[in-house]
Amino acid sequence: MRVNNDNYVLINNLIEQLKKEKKLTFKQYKILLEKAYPLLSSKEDNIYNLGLSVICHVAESKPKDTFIQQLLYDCIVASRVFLYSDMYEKMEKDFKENISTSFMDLLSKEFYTLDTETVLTRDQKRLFDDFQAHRRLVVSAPTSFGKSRIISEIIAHNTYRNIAIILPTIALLNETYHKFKGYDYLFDYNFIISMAQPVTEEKNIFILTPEKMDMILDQYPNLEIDFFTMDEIYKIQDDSDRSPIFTHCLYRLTKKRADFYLIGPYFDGFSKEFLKQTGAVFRKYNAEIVQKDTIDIHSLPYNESYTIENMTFKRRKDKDINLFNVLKSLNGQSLVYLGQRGRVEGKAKKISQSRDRKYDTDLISYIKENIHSEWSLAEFLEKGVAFHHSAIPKHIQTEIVEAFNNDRIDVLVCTSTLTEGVNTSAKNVIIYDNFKGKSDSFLSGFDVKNIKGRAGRFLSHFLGRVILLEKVTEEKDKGTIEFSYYDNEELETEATIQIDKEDLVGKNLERRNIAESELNRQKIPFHIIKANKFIPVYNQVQFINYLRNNQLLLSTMIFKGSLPNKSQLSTMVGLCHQYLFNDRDATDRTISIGNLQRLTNFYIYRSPLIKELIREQDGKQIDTKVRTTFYLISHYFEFALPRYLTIFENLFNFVYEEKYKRKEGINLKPLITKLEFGYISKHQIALKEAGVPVNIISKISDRFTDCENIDDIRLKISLDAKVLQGLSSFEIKILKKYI
Amino acid sequence: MKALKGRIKNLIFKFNLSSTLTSEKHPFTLDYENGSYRQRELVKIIKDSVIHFALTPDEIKKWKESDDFGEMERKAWDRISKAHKYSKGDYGELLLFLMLSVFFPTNKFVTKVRLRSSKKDQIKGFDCAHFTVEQGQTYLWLGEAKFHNSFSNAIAGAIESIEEHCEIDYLNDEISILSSNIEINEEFPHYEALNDLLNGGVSLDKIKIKIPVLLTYDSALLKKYDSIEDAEFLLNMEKDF
Repeated sequence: MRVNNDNYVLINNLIEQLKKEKKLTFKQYKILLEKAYPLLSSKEDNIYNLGLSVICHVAESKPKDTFIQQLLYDCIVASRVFLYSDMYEKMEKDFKENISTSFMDLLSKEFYTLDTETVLTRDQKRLFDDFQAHRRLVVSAPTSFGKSRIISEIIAHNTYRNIAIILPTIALLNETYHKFKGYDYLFDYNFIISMAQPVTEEKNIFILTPEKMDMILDQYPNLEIDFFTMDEIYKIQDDSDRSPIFTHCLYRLTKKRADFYLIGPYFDGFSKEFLKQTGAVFRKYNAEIVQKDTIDIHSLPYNESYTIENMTFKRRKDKDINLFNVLKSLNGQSLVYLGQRGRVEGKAKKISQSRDRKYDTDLISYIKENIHSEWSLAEFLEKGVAFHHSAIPKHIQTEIVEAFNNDRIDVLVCTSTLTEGVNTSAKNVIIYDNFKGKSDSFLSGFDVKNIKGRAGRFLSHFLGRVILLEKVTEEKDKGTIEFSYYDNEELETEATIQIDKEDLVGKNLERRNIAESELNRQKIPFHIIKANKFIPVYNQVQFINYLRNNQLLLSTMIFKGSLPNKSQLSTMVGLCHQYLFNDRDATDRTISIGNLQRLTNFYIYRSPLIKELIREQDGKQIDTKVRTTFYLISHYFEFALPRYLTIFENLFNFVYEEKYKRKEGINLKPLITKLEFGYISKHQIALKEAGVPVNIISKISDRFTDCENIDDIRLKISLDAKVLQGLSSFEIKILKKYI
Repeated sequence: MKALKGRIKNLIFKFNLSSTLTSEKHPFTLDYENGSYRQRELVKIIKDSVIHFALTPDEIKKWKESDDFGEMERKAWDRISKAHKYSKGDYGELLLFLMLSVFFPTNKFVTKVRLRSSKKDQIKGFDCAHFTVEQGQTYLWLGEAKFHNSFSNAIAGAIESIEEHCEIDYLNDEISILSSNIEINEEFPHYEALNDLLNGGVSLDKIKIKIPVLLTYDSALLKKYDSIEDAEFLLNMEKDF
């Protein structure tokens, strides 16, 4: 269908006027909706999108006239996004009474209603049908599309035995897990969100990060997966630290010959070779069902006026003043994006100082009691402000997002950790910084689009509002996502040793052969090196040779009992730092290696509470100490050290056996478990893996010593009323969320 | 749609009235099968036609491709009729369209027309809103369909509605014509031209309006006979009118 140019201009002008004046005359509304109506049956995304834009802008302005409401409803039916009508009814109670709906309208709605009673949008339905037809699908679709909703529908409408859902962050795992648990039609599946849970014969749904999924595949080499999905799929190419593991996990899962559904926002294409090898189909969707309204304050000249929600301000030189003005005027929940952790905390402080509203949430007293009475987050929460970044413990992150989504706070200052995948009910997004991480690493056009995409949530908002306080790159989609294993002709040695040899050609095969023959010459079995994924082969060989030449060290590292002694542990961490740490960890200025050794010992042999660990940090500022502690726990204890120490153990035992022809070298499993989970016994680990915070575990864990796993614990909680005595109601609420 | 038209031709029969009626009036009846009047078949036809009005050509294609097409349809009807027990008006709309298509064989372009008259501040959709192009002249058909037990009730209802329609106050009433992308429109030969006309903001002044009215009622005669071939049946039907 074509849109004649006059109509196009007319529609756009009316939308602009509506944005500015918040309402139109009856005639203007009528013309706008009449013109939009035919656009909504267009097959072309940009025309359809213009039609959606009319629906969203008109709905946002809540026209009172019933005739206009009727035309709006007719447009909604034509758009096939039937849930718009439900959304409108939420805002305007009389809507359904004011309009007349026909049998034909209802029947077309039925076409978008699945057996599970889920009503899909036009594009969701197309996507769902595409999956049912092709079974292997790579999809690029906007943030607000509702891509993950389709996952549960795919599972419900097919008969899969084992399913893997791979997500980039723990926050997303939790969100997905809780959502899926709520779907009745998935009741007969066993959800696995941690390594310690029992895997049943079939009917498992693994909801894991790629790192954990990779481990599961190591642990159960014969596990059959017949459907898997990966979210934020662009991370196989564009994640500075984790691209290799994303790629590898995808590679291994495709080798299972399963159906799959790979999703991500805003990219134009996907590796041709990958599509060819797997017989998959790529689809791109562009229509935004939550439309965006951008106010660019940065590009205004100084002292020029602008209006938000009926309040008019002048653009000032001082960015903070602009920020406070904007926040003063906005209705609804607002995210403020900043580029670094420290800046996020600082800005939250300034914002909270500019407000005097008193908020009250259970989270405040919980934080004061369990983390630190003077940690500024508690103080900010009282003003309705919070901050969010990767080094905040996961359960606190979850509570912050929940408080935000439940209107108990209304400003959330955040880094890309939030904007890259956590769903919130934010109506507004304010972009304060134009960089991510380092101050010279500017946001790409894709980053900008992704951050903007967080404004407005389908089913809650028709329009998301974006406010720019900084000059940002023009938003742009990514090009074609490459799958390096098939597309990169010059892979790193570390990658070539992970790929099946029949998938290697040219230089990559050459590189692999060189690595094999070099390892052969060094008398190091290939599988020893391969097991230590993505640790540079050179470093591993160097470390092996160091151990081979230090016989004394071999014997001094041997220990009896479950844990090494303090000096052994310090030596191990030191050697890991010297040989195995990646560049970023090796040059970490937040925590020096000396401090890391000291704090690791303190953590392992004293089992401190979080507040005690905070006390041990250098520095004067409470906030800095808290931030460093969280980073220490989430990065080193729970993630990096377990990984390095596993490799240490592998390589050490290889050399030990080579030297003494004896298998019993060292066993670091208990140490690693203790680092990762803070505990050693099964019931405590089960609680920790489920996501229960440490301080709650400490209070109740002695009541579950007879429990083997989380199912036992669940059973005991439901049958033994006394088992949770002594917890506050807020603590019980948190606990129940994870159990 | 073609098959449907065939089924209608085999079900609904026009008969001649030698009466003194002046304006266009067309009596119809269903035929009989094994001695019983074929109401059920009529219900089926209406049911089967709904999809052609509700879905776009692409949607129909997909709907039919799905393996359990019949099952889907059954479920859809089930859910709708449970949730909306009292909305029966649309069936009349469909029957009216079907009869117009079979017995007044000009291609029709189906739209939604919304009216709010300044007298009654109430939104009204028409039972029939079609465009035809006949000898270069565009006609808008704004029709009425009445399902009643008795003929006189049907007529009274229809007259009331027609009066209302004819009172359209072109200056003060609000009328909106929305051209919809449904399957039937695909066959319409003047699709582009008419679509442009509607998109360009149509003025009702330039368009002639036809008002088809469908009256249905339960005739007591139907139970007495078992064939429409029966000469006495036709005679009595004439009297009935």
